Amino acid sequence: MPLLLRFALALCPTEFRREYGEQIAADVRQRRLSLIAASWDVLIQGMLLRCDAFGGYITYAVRSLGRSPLYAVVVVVTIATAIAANVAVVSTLEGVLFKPLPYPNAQRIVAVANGSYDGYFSYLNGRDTATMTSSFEQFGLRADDGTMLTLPSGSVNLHASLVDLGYLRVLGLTPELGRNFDAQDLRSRSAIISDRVWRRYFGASTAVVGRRVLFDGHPYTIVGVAPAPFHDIEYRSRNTDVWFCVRLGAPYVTNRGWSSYRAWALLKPGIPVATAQADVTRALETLRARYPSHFVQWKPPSLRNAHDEVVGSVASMLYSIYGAVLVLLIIACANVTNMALARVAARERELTLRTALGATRLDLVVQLGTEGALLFAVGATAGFACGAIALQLFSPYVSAILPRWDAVHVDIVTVLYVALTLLAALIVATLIPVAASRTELAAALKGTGNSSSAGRAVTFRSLLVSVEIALALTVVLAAALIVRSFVTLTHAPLGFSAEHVYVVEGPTLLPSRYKNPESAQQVDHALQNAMGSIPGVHTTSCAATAPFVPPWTTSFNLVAQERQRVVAVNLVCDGYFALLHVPLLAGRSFGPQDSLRAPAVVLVNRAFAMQYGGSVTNVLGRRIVPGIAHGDGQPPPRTVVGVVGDMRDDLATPPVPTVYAPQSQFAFSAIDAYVIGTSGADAGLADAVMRAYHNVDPFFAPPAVTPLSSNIDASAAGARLAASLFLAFSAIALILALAGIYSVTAYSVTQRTREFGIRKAVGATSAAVLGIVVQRALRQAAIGIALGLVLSAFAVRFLAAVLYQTSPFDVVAISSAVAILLACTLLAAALPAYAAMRIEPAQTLHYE
Amino acid sequence: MARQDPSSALPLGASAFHILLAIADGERNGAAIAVDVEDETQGGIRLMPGALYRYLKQMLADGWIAETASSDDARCKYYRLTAWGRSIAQAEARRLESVVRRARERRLLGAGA
Repeated sequence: MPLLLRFALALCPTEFRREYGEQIAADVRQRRLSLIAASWDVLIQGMLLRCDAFGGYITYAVRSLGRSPLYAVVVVVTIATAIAANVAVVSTLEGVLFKPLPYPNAQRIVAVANGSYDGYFSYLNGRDTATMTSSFEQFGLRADDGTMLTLPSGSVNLHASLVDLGYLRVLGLTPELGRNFDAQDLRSRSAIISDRVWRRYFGASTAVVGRRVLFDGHPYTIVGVAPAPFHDIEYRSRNTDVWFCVRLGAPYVTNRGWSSYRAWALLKPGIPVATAQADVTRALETLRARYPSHFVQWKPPSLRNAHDEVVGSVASMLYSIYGAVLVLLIIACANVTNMALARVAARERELTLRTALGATRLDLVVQLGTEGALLFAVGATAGFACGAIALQLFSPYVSAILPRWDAVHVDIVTVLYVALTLLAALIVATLIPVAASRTELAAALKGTGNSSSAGRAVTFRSLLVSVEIALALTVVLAAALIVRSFVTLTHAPLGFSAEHVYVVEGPTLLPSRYKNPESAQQVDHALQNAMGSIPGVHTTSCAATAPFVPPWTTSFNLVAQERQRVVAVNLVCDGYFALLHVPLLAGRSFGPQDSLRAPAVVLVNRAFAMQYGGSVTNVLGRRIVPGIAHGDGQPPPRTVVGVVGDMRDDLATPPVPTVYAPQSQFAFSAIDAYVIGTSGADAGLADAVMRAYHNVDPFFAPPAVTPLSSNIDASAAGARLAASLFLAFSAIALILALAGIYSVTAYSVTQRTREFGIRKAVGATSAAVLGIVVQRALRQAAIGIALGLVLSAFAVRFLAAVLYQTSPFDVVAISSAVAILLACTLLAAALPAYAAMRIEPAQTLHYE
Repeated sequence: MARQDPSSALPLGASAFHILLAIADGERNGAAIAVDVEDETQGGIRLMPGALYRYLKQMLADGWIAETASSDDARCKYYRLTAWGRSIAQAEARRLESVVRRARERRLLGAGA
C-alpha cells in the first residue's frame, strides 16, 4: 500500500481502517485515482468519522468517570481551585498593572518629584520649573485640601484638591458641564465639583454652573462639573469631591517655602523621560542657586511614569502573589497527572480487555484524553466562575488597599490568558513527563503490566511527587517569609498606646463667625471641654497633625549653625503625650507656664535628640529655629526643654526627627485633630461627639470619629492580605503535595504486597517493613526539598522587595518550611505504611 | 430508529441518492458504485474511496443497504438495497418528481424537455 495512503488510513478510526483499508487501496489502484487526492480524502473522512465517534467517547468517558466519583471530584476541585486563584490574580494584575490609567494621553503623564521636601513643590518653585523647562506640554500642581460645603440644609466636610491651571489639563479633564479652569479663575474663587457632589448636593441641576456656594464660608463660583469616572491621579485622593483653583495672592501661592504640591506633567510627544528629567534638573538647580534656603537636603529630582508612580508600590507584591498562584497551578496539574497515572494503572485490566477486543493504542489514548479533557473542562469552568465570584467577595476589602481596583474585571483577555497558562502548565506537568517516560502509560496500554515496567512507573511518579514537594516548599517558604515579615511589621513598637483612643477631625471655622485668631483658640477649648464631658471620655487633647499621620516637615537650623535641615513638626496641646502614653525621656513636658508671652520652647523626640545631640539629655537647653511661621515676622528661636519617646507615623518607616511646639505659644490655631481617651465603653461616642460639635457651633459639619487602632490596622491591611493569601496558597499547595505523596506511597505498597509478604515470611519484622515504606517516602521528600531549596533561592529574590526587615534567607522561615514539609510527608506516608505493616504473609500468597 | 416514515430521511444528499440509485437494479461492489455514479452524472459526482466507504458504512449501520453473501472474495464486498433503503430512495425520487413537475408548471422546463 502506498505510504501516503497508509499514513492517511493510520489516522482513521481503527474499525474503519480494518473494514475498508484494503478495499480503498484496491479501489484507488483499480480506478487509477490520484494518490494525493485519494489520501487527502481518506484523511478528511477519517477526521469526520472521529468526530462522529467522539460523541461515543464522551458518553463512555462520562460513564467511566461516574464509576469513580471520588477521582472525578478531586480532579475537578483541584483544577477549579488553581484556576480560580489564577483568574482572580491575573484579573487583578491586568487591571492594576497593565491597563493604562484612565486619562487621555496617560502614557505621557509623568510624576515630577522635587529634590527637596520629599518631592513636594511650592507653588512658585513649581511654576518656575514649568516656565524654565521645554519638555512638557502641560505642567500641573495639586495639593491635598479639605473643605466644608455650607448649604441651607447644613454643612458637610468634603475632600478637596487645590490645583493650578495645568493640573486638570495634564489629566485631560473634559467637564460634563461648564468648563475647565482658566486664567480668570486665578483672580476669583472658583471650583469644579465632582459628579457625586453634583448629584448628591445639587440635585444634578444643570443650573449649577455659575452658581455661587459657600466653601469654608467663602463664596465660590462653580465653573464646571467633572464627569463621573474622573478622579484625581493619586490613589489616596481618588474620592476628591471638589477642585479649587489656586488664587493669586493667597499665602499658599506667594510663599516659596510652602511645599505641599505634587507635580504632574504631560510630556511633549516623543520626549523621553530621561530628557525631561535632565530638563527639570537643570531648572531646579538654577532655582536652588537662587533660593538656597528653599532647597534643603537636596538630592537630584526624579521623573517617573505616572502609571509606575500610582501602582509601583504594589507591583512587587502582585507579582509575588501571581508567582505563587502560578506555582499552585503547576502543582495542581502535576497532581492531576499523578492521579491520572494511578488510575490508568488501576484500570489495567479494563484497558487490556479493550485492547483484546480490538481497540488500538490510539483509541485508548483518545479515550483517556477525553476523560481528562472532560474533567479539565468542568474544573476550568468551575474555576473561572469561582474566580469571578472570589473577586466580587474580596472587592470591599481589597479596594481600600489596591490602587485602581475599579479597573479590575474578569474579561476575555484574562480568561484566554489563564486558559493558555493552564494548557502550558498541563504540558509542563503532564505531556513532557509522559512522553519522556512512557513507561506506565505504555505498559498499561499494551496490557503488559509486568512488574519491572510498573516499578519504573512508580519511580517516575515518585519523581513527579518530588517536583510537587519542591514547588510546595517554595510556596510554603514564601508564606513563612511573608508571615514573618507581617509579624515584624505589626509588632514594631509604635511608641504610643492606641487603646481606647479616638481621633476626631477638627472643625472648619467660618471666617464670618471667627474673625480674630483668639476666637479659634476659644473654639479649641470649647470643643475639648464639650467632648471631655461626654460620659466615658476621660482625657482630651489636640494636635495640628493626628497621631499615625505623616506630619508636616519644615526646615530648621540649630542656633549658631548656618546649615538648614529638614525636620518633621507638629503643634500639640496640653496632655497630648500623657494621653497617648508617650514617655518623657528627659526634661519636662509642656505646662501652663508655656503661654504666648513666655520664652518659646519645644519638645523633641528621641530620634532628634540622638541625631543632633548624640544622647537623650545632650539636646536639652539647645536653641533651634524651626521654620514655623509665627504670625508675622521671622520665626523665633526656641529652647529644647524636653525629650519624648519616638512615635511612629507609619508601620514600615522608623521614626524621623520631630519637633513638637506647644499650641499655647501661637496666636493662631493650627489644630486639625482632637484625640480623646475613653474608658472603653465607646458605643454612641460618634453621636455624642457630633452633638458636642453642634452645641459649640451649629454650623460645624459632623466630624469623622475614628479609633486610632483602626488607622494602624488599615496601614497593615496590605501586608495582612498578602500574608493571608500566601497562607491560603501554601495550605492548598501542602494539601496537594500530601495527596500526591499519599497516592504514590499507597500504590507502591499495593504493588509490593507480595514482596512485603515474602519479607515477613522470611523473618522481617513489621518495623522493618514500616521502615522501608517510610524511608521511600522520605527519600522523595528529601529530593523534593533539595530541589525546592534551589528553586526558592531564585524565587525569594523577587520577594525581597515586599519583605519588611526580614531576610529572604531567614533561617527560621527556611527551617520551619522544611519541617512542615517533612511532617506532611510522614503524615501522608503513615496510612500506607500502617497498611504495609499489617500485611499477612499467608494472605499475600492468596493475593497473586 | 424510527422506520415508519422514509421521508424523515429526506432530502438526501446528491451523493447518497446516487449511491442508492447505483445499486437499485442489482448488487454492486464499491468501485462499481463509484464508476456508475460518475458515469450517470457525467463526472459531476466523483466519489473518492474514503468518502464512498464512509457513506456505505453509515448506510449499513442505518440499515439502508446490506452486504450480500454472494461475494466470492471476502475482501471485495457487494452491496444491495434493503427494503427500507428502497423506500427511502423511492421517497426521494417522488420528491424530485414533484419538484420537476413544479418546475414545468412554472415554465422552467419545457413540456417535452
